[in-house]
Amino acid sequence: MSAVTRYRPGLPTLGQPGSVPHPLFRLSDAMRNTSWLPALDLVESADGFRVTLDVPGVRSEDIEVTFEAGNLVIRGEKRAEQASEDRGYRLIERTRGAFERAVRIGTPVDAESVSAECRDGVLTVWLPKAAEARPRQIAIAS
Amino acid sequence: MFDLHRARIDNLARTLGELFDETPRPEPWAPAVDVIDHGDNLVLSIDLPGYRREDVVIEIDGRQLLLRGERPEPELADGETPVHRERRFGRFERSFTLGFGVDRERIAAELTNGVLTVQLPKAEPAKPRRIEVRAA
Repeated sequence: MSAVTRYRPGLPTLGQPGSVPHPLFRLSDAMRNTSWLPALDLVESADGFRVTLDVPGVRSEDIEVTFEAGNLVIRGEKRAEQASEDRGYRLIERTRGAFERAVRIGTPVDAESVSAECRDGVLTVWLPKAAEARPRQIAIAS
Repeated sequence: MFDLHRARIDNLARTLGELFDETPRPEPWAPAVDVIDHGDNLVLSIDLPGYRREDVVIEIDGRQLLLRGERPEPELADGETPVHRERRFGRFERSFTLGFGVDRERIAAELTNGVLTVQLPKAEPAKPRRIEVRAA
């Protein structure tokens, strides 16, 4: 059983008795200014978690990564490359605007060592597990 | 009459069988594209996060523009377990029919920050020509 609970934006908490949204998520996605949700992958290893997001066209200075009380929150904005000359558009499929994704990590994480890197439109966040959450081999004294 | 119904039922069963028995194919995926017409050239922007230049092919055949690419699934390191997956990998193909000829010599493409930008300069339009109608 994984220690990670996925934060599911947009899902109503109604009909889930006893579920109280974390204060960090007090604004539901429906209310928040999220115009798109970047695709997110999460991988776990003995040492930590790796979160990967597809954020094509988002500059690293437009991304904000925070980790607080077990919640990883990634906010950002994809700005239009072109000036707002709407008349020339023949096709618009790409999403733009503000985005936010959040992942709740149930395992203790070494918050000081969380690091992030953005390359080729892919954001990778590395969350090392806290020492107490890592497997540890105990030597048997003879 | 009965045979006809029977045949229809068999046919339906076969169709349903085809629908449900086959192993599900992965949903086709294609990247999102914006197209802007600047008058003398057309600019395409394609979201291709994590793609490298060698992963994308752009082909022009007459007025047909073809985009092909493949993003290989990343390999997991030893001891890594996928917990959650949303990102799409594999091949894609998209084609567009252009309403103009392209000046092939001046096509330019650039991949920056996971966005591929393709500049398609329009070829000089054929000048209108007046055709004299001669008397027979």
